[in-house]
Amino acid sequence: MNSSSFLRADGTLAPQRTAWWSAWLPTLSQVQQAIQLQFRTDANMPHSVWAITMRQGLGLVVVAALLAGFLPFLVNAVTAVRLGTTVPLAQLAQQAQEQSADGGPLSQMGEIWQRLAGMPPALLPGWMAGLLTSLGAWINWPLRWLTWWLVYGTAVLVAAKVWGTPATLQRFFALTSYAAVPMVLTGLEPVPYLGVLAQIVAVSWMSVVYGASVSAVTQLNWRRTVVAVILPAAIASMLGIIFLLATATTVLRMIF
Amino acid sequence: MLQPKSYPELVGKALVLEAEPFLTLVEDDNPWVEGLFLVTCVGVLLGGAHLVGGLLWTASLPPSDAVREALLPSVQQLAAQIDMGKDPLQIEAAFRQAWRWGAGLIGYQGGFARLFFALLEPVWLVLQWLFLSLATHGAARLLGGKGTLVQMLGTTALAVAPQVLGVLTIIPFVSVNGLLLGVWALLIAYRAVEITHDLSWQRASLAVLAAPVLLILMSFFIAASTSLVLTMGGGA
Repeated sequence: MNSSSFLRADGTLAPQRTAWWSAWLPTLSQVQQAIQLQFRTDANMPHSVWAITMRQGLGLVVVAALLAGFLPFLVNAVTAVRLGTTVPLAQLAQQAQEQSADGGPLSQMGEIWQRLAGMPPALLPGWMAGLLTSLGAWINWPLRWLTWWLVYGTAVLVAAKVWGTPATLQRFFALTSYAAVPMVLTGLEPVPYLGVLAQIVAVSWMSVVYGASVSAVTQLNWRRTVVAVILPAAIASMLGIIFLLATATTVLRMIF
Repeated sequence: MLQPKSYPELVGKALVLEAEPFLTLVEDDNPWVEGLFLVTCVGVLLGGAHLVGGLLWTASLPPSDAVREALLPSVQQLAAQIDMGKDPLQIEAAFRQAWRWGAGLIGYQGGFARLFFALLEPVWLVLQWLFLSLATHGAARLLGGKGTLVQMLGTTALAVAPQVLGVLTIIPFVSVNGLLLGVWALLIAYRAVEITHDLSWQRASLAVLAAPVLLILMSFFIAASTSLVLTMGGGA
């Protein structure tokens, strides 16, 4: 009897074996199909990409972000613990150091950051401040990814609804969560040269998976899917430019 | 009456927009009391997390006085460069004053400001909940909704669920984006309106947008009134 069998040797039915995390994560096979853009499989199959709940999607985004953030967490923790300071101060001091290593003199701000990074924390031991803040920086990864997934996703769904898509909120968020998987590659950021390449691959792959998942769940054609996916970014950029121009005009008027 | 131990499950299911917690609250004998209690519980939890997280933040940074002294020479130099003042003593006094205010406000120097904001957290969340419920209920009724205000107060309380993420701020330098909290809360409120008032998705969307639109209009009105009063005061 193999592990997928639910019939005992005596003929009675054994309870189905489910891991505690199965309610929170899709199966590996579902993820593999999704990142290979196989969204057109039979939706009624138990392990098709469609058999994902929003809860599993949420779990997938969080786990992918934690995986991506693990290497940067290690790098941050080692740097901050060694310097005996918090991650933001350690990073600022390191940036100042890199600028001066390029041949330029240490800027005034650079000097300040280095001085602040050299000061011991008010109460905690330096290593603990470094470790705690590295942990904080790591936890920020899933929080950032959740923001993208939910906020941008809502805007894309609203754009898609203009064309009368039948997609529901839960279905939409569940399917689009697969796009977080390729972004795990962004965790290679601290690796010189390879990090940049990994980021380019991650963003391109994520965009394609996101587009495919939006197209599948909204049942829109490719042209409309691209418009729905790009429209929120275009509107946000336009509003940003208008805001910047308005601010610049106000500041210039105040000065002159 | 629901048991408080069922709240984590309600909050968890509301976060993934499942219908069950909304239906539970609609059918409850006292939805608004449940809502008030849930919002207050989350507020107290959040306030406690902010307080502890804030104290850990202060403890992990260099002492406030030492940072101020390290920054002072650069501030004096910068002020001289941009012609803000030539007298170093005057600049030092102004900087110390600004530092005292700023550091006090964010709770860098001590725990009193943090304690105040921690105590304010449940009150603030209850006010937000009341505003969201009333505005959304009014709009939903105008759009043909059938639910009652009492039911709406119960289901809209679930919009507080994303605030639970704020508990993570107990770890220094963890920041939860306000946009995430706001949009997630609106998505939950949308489900609340849709289920409580039995509205189509178009009408439920319009109803749920009533609260932010009203808030923006009120902000414009307050900003315009303030500016008018200041202009008239200046003119006089």
